[in-house]
Amino acid sequence: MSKLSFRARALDASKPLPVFRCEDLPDLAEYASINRAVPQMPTGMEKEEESEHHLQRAISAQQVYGEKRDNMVIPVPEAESNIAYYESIYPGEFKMPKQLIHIQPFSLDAEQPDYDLDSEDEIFVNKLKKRMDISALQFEEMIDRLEKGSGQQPVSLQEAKLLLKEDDELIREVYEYWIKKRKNCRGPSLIPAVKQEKRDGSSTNDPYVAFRRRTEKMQTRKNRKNDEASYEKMLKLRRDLSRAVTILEMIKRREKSKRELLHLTLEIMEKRYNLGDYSGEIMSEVMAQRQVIKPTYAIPIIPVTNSSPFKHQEAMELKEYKVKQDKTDVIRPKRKYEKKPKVLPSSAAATPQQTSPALPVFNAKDLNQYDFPSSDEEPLSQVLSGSSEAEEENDPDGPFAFRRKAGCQYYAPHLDQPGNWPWSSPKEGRLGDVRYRYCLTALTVPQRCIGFARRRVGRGGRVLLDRAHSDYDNTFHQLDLEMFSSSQHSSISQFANTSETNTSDKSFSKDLSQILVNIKSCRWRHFRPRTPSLHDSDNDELSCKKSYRGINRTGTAQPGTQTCSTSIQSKSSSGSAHFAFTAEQYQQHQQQLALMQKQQLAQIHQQQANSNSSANTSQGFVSKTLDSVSAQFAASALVTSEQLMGFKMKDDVVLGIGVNGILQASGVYKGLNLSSATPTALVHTSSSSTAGSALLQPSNITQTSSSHSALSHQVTAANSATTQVLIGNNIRLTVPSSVATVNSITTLNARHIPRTLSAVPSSALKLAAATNCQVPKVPASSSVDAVPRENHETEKPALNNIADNTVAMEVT
Amino acid sequence: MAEGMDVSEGCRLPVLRRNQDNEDEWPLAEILSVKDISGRKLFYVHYIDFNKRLDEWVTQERLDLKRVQGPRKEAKTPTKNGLPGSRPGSPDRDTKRKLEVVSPATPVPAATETSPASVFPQNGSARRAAAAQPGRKRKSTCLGTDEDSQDSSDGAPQAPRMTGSLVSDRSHDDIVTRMKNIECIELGRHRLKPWYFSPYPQELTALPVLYLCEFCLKYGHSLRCLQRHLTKCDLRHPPGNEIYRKGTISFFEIDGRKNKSYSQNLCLLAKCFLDHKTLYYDTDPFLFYVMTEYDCKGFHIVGYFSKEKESTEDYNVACILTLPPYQRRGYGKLLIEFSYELSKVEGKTGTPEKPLSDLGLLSYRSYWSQTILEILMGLKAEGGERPQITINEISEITSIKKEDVISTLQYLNLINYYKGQYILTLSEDIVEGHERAMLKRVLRIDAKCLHFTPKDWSKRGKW
Repeated sequence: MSKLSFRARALDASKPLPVFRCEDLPDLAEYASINRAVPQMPTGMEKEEESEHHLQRAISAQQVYGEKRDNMVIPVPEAESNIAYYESIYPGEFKMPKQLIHIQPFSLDAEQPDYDLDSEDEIFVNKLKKRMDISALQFEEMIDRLEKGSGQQPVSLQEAKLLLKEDDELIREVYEYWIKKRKNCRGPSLIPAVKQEKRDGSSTNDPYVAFRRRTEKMQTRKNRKNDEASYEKMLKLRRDLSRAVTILEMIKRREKSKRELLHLTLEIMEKRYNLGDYSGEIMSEVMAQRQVIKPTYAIPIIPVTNSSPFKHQEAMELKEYKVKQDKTDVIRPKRKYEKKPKVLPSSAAATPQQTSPALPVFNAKDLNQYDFPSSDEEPLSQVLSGSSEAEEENDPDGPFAFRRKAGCQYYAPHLDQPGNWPWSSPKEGRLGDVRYRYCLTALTVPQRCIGFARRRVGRGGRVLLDRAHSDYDNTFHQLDLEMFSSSQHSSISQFANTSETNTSDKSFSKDLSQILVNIKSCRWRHFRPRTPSLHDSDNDELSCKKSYRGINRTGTAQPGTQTCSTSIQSKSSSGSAHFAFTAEQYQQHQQQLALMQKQQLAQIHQQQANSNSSANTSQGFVSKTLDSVSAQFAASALVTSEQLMGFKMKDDVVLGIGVNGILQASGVYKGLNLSSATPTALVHTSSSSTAGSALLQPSNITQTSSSHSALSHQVTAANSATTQVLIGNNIRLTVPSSVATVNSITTLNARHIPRTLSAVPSSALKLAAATNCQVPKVPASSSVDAVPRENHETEKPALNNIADNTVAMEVT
Repeated sequence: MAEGMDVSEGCRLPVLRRNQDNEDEWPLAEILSVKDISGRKLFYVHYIDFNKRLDEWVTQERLDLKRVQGPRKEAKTPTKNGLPGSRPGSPDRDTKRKLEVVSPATPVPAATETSPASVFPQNGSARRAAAAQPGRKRKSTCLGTDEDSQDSSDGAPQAPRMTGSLVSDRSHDDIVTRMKNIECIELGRHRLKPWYFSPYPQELTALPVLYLCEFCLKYGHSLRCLQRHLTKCDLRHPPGNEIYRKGTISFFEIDGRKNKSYSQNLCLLAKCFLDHKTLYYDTDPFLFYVMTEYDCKGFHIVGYFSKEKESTEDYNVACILTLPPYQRRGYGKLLIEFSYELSKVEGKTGTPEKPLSDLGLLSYRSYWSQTILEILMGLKAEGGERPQITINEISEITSIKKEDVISTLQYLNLINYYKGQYILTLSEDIVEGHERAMLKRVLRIDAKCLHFTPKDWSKRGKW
């Protein structure tokens, strides 16, 4: 026998194997030794179990006997099959259907209670049956509903009454029984159920938790792409729907407001009729006053007579104000939106003056909703409105979501109108942005009024002037020249007449006077040249400036100590030497100022703690320290502001003005942070100082007005050049500045000080000091709201700050 | 040793046990748990080298206290280590440990003064401590660095794989699942003694008898409940489509996704008799084929097998069970035969999911042997040549997976290397034994009675 050391070939499953009977192969045993080559297949059992005693015994028995022997089987725990009561409890006779049983879907969902009554319940139900009508099944249904209505905590009796349809008496009985039973129950529910997995994953290894859900990943593997896409679609749909809800909500509010507006308009019309105001004069007068304090809700003026120019201009005014409001809002950081006031539109509309302080807390979008005629102004509102907070929260784009930048305006794409520039007129069905409408415009060189023109930024930042013909063109040319000459002549004696808007010069013609009335009431825009930079300014201008400075000083230095004012005087004499005021110096001054303001603030705090009356008087005293410094600085900063303007590159529109020497008096610039104080000041400069204050008196009701009037006094004390510079610097009138203003003109306008000081919270002061006179872009009246927001404004470029601050100082 | 010696968890000692032949034996056993019922101590013992299904509660009289071996060296920590009760309060335990350990207190609520968990607190889990003992068959391969590193590397408990129905890796085996928790189940006219742990609602585990509706398999805690239930339950057969009927034997197909309640109840019942079955995940990806026997009361469940709707590993059976009262009467083979009939209709070969149990292995081997021998003996010589057949052909005819064919041929010792080639040899013993067995095998599946159209589950979004 060849003891074979070779390895047998692997078993080939596809190779035919001849089948032999052993008796046909007598020599098979000789080959047995190599049969080991046959692959050993695993049994498929766990190794440890494979070696178990009874299995091995059974296997060997099988191999020995060819089959299992009774005593060689694997023993198992016994089972009995002799339940005697089986026949009685299982209902009898189920006839086998001839056909194979085919179950209908949902046929199993018979509405049967899962709860099964036990003997304890039976006793209770039987007892209850004597008094009430209840069956076992009914009882089970009740318990079933109670159990399924309960989570970890059982439902209350009140909830139970809602869950159950039975009468109260029965419900109470069953409920009490159930509560008691549930308390004694070992399980979480009277209907025993397999433990469910917990959401927090803590049940991963609980052996009593079974039938866990397979994870999402597993289930969506096949068409994952599709699933993801549809999931995203659903998210989007959800977002869109929630937006629709928001929009509808807002429409509802808007329509309410419109109805309110209609009623008010009707009321006004009635009042006007009663007053006999057929020409709209009283109305326009009132409107002019209202504009001074920046009404929240413009009331449409429908002239009784057909005085078309008025009509047109009123409409313009409405737009104008809306834009202003929007701007203030858009610029505000979004944190502001969290505090949506609960101001009802009706009440707001009814007392427009009262709402003026609360105005900035309105969302720009909301404001648009209230605006008249809002339904036609969707493009504008789209352009100017910020996204609402709720939307941003729902935004799934997360960190990549589009966020509005403070100070930026974003235009909604008009895909269907590729040539829709903001200056395209509404007549062409375009946007016709109010900022680009034709205004009365004056040029510096040659110094003349060119009549109606509009300014827009062309390619490369060039500022273009589109001119429009009007019947009054001749008058305008005349007007401008006269105005200039008069302003130069009377600049020292008549500050009020030197404003960039028209003066109340009586020497004009009939037409002119009418125009002037219009301008006075601030309904027509008038551009006039900015003061040319010092290098190329003519002597007239320079002298003007100098004299202004002098006036400024006299105005501001008065509250200061005598030494201070004298020093300023000396400085003013060499005013031109200060033109080279550096940024470092400026900064230094800022710090100084901040320090002083802090001190002042601390004192104010102290004094306010004492008593109001004493505080007011002492504040005037305390402010002196600050006043002198600010006055000093104002004097120098007045000059330097124009130089500083060169640094201020942020706002290209403002820059454009600087380049072209065109200035918009009360028009609204892109990114212009026009506070409510500005128009006031401008209006007053156009009239005599007395007239200005007279005009202002009604508006003193609000807190804003107090600072306005203070400001107006200050502006009257100053001259047109001051205002010009101020405007040139982006017209940022600020709370701190107004405070400073008030402080500086204590003697001039002592009447306003207490008000302003009380109106402007100390926190605003503090903040202004701390943030290096960060300029709030809101009216002084809203400084309360502005305070928290200001903390987030620190990222503004330092240069900008400087420029802004310069403005603030110039006011004083 | 003295009686005073404390017999605690982890101790090994001979325990009196009566075998099938009614003879008394003293096999070595390990104490898994101790409980005190009205002053009488009961010990849960696992007989070494016996299947877990024979584990039981014994009284102290049956313990041979003279030959106690203390807990093995892995459990050096004193059994009474000052840990209050079985609640692990030590902060070093992670969530997993806590979960494992908290639960054991509940199935033996009476007086587990020292639960196994507190015996081996340092080891972190009772399971691992127990596994670390040599001679403990179950865990001898699982312990060691692998498991340790696995446990320590990720503190979060791992979820088992999501395919299949059996756990081959017993890393989640803990003291709770090692012990039977249901004493008795009444199902129809039968009373079953569960073999293994099953996650029935915990509050029901303390009951002496758990009552099941034999048609919908709903569990109730008392006979009265069952009676009430039967007035409401109008099922007289498993809630699925009957796809096979011959005589009194029927098969019902139940979709684990469409009929969750029945599928879950069935799984809970089956778990009582299937050690490796996992109920970790839902029943959605499975089909359940329930074999019933009809009588005038209805279609009574005899056994069942589950099957994955889509198997990546050629499994045609996930779990398979003949209920104990019907065991050793050929029903198991009938179930297996049916599963291969389904595979034949599907045109696939299949194999049962691993690991097999001892009874599973015997049943399958028996079925495979008889099926293959039937084919081999039926082969006719053609043209004077020896009859021959390839393994692949056997596989195709029977739908038995090739590996199983080889393993069976090898187990039956039919494959021989003879004169440079493999041949199949049929010994007289084999032939006789087969003929005898086939005479006994009266229950057969009649393919003509099968009304089954396989579904292509892969084309559906979900199972």
